[in-house]
Amino acid sequence: MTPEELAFLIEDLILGADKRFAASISRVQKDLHAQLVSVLKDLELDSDGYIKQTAQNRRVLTIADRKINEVFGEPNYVGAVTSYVAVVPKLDAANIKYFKGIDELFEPNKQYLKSLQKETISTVEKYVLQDGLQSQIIQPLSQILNQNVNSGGRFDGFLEQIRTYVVGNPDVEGRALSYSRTFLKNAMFQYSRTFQESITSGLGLDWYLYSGGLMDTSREFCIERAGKYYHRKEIEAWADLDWHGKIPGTTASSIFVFVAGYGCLHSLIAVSDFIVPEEDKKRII
Amino acid sequence: MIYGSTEFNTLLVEVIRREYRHPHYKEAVRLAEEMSVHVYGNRPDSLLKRVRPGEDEEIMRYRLENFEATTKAPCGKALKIVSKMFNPNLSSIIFPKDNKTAEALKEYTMYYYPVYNSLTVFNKDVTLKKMTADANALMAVKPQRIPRNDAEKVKPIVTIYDSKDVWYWDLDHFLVNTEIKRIDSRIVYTFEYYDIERYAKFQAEAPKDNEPAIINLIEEYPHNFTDQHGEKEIPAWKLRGNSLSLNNGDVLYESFFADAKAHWNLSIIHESDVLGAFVKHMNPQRVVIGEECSNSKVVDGITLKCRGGWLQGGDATGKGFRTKCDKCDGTGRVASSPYEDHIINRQKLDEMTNMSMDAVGYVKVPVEATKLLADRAKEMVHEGNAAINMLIEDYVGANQSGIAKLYDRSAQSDTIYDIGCIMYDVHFQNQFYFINKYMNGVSDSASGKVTDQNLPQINKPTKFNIETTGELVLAFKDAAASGVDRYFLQAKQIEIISRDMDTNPDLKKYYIMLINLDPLFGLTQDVIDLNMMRGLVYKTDAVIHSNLKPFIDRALAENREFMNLDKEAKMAILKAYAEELITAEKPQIDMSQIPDQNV
Repeated sequence: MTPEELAFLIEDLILGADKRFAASISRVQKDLHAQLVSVLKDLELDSDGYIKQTAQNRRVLTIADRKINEVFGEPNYVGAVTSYVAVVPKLDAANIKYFKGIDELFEPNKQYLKSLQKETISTVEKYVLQDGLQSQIIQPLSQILNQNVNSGGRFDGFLEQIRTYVVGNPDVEGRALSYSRTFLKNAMFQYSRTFQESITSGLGLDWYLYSGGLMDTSREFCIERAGKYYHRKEIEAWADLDWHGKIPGTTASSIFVFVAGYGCLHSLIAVSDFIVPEEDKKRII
Repeated sequence: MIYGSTEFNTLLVEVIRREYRHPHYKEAVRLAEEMSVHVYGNRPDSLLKRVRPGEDEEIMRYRLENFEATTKAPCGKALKIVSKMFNPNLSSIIFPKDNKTAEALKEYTMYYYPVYNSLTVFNKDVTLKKMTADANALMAVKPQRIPRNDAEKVKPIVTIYDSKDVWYWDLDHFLVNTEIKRIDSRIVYTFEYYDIERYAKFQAEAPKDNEPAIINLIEEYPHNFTDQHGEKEIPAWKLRGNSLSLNNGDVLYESFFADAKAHWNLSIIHESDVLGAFVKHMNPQRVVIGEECSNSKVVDGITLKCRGGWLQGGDATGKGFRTKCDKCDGTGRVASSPYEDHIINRQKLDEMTNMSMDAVGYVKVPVEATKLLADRAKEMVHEGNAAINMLIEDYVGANQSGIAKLYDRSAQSDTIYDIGCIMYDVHFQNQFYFINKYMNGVSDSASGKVTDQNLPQINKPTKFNIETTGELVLAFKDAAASGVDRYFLQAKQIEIISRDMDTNPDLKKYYIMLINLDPLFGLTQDVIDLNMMRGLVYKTDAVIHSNLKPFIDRALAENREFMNLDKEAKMAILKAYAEELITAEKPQIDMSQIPDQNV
């Protein structure tokens, strides 16, 4: 397996999972929106269509809040996340296959792999199913409900705000989808890179291929580097640069995981010296 | 006048020979007799005799003999209400700690007091009733028996003497007659006597003015009780009630229930009248047309025959005899009947034109007045209880107006408080004070210890446990609906539980703990949810609130001492349980759904 093939396989695995996840979450968002509308239709309005500030309306608010929590605790949402995370063993298999191609004696450190998987899954749980879900998706939605009911906003505007937040519009994804998929995509790419980096140092590999395709939204940083070979020292030096999308905390060691930053689908695949072009090697000499 | 003095002897002679009594003796006895009718159910002869003055003696006797104390029950009910002042949850008697003498005093007065086990029981069963019946009665503390030797410790007891037995008293003594015994031609009087130096029991008689009256000193216990200012004290005092200030500045006491007396008396009078009227109905008065009396009898061989009500006859000499007929009682007409016949003179009847009547008939007694009287007798019972603010108990359940009941309760509480002040500030204080003096006065004095340091701190009740649990629940409902502070409601709920589960202390403690540990007591689930949305309450608090009972049951199962921990420690355990549940309930990735994992 060539580095390009590995990079494309990883991208394909993750983006495939991402696509299926997006479809599932879109259904969850639509369901949540329908349930919310069903509850919020009971809000008492004045003759001008403004939400009344009444005890009854506050009760409606709490029912709506319960619905939100129920929907995100249901198997549809949790199952979609689980399916996304199911890509992890496939990533492992692809990476192992690639590195066995470089060194046929290579055997992955199972203990390390196990702990890396656990940590990744635990992070996903925390940010997509638990605290992160609360702070990034549920609480902002509760605040929208609260603000409108407590300040007596217009009902039609309120419903529109809910719709945009929950389901999204042609320009913006629903909040649950945009937050979760971004996080999961980053998490899966970072998992794969972390695994690769742990193997790389063990095999004594110093050269990397900045692999992965380009898109309309690709950063200048990636356009300049994609498809090229770089020595470890060169890559470590990039950490001192500044570019749009760089993740804060990108250091000489973490750049191998973060690469170009948020949403970057590229990989720094470690390669054998034998395939590195001579002109690239000359940069280092 | 101190025992043994000439003056005292003179007083004794006067008291025995000429029934000389203290100035308010008659009034005190009268007040006691009147109230005893209602408190003890004594027969009110004087009261009943003055009713229906023209009544047939047979019926009056019937009424007196068949008197039933109908006012004893309402009076008893009022006493029951008042006796709630003894509820140990409302008052306290706290003895000093680390004081062995105080401990001994506590054991004697609160656990091993003769007959009643504790002074509280004695005051509840005896003192309260007695002070209601006889406010001028005398309470005294005396040795149960005079110690026979130095090793025997004195056991002081509280005794109450009726005001009719307190023949004389002044500032330095009380003279109480306890027995009058006729021995042959002599009359021997037994007295118990209290002054500032002694308690004594003696017998006396006074056949002549100038002879010594005391004939036998049965027992004597000298003492030297002094107050903190060194003033000598007599271990005896009046039971007290409402004070009646007399013109000469003296004070007489009347019962705290005296305001009910007039109504209860009327109830007794009316009830007795109703009884008399019932007798008339049950034994109807017959009306008969009288037949001429044909009575005859032989006196000294002369036959006398009734003629117009007179037995008349003559002997052979022509001497005549005339005496009132004992059969027709001088009327000349007779009718046979077991009971109260009214005899109509046939001749008079015949003289009346257009008048006819059956040979025998019955007097038709109107019943309306009897019915009204029966109703009024009942009404007077209620009026009596209302006069002393003890009516409310009768209407609980009939009247669901919480406001009205609260209003009435306050008046009732005031009345109980007044009685409680005397009970706790006078009787309990004096009882402990003098019992302590008897038991420890000498030994403490010898060891230089202040005897009063043994005395308990007595906290009288200021609020009375008189609402039923049902009423408390209603009041709680009203309070909750009015939007009062939830912490206030929490305290009220603890109060209800304390009251309702008095007989099951373990359960009471458990439920009080349950309420105390609820961090969100009184908040509805909606409000909790809303507050959580706004970030105003901790999720752990909400979890504890929703799982309080299972959490506490688990804590008790895991730690037997949980109930005895302080609140902070208990809450820490509950919070740990809450965190555990929150973690367990967090959505998690189902690892079994991830295939071929290398984990």
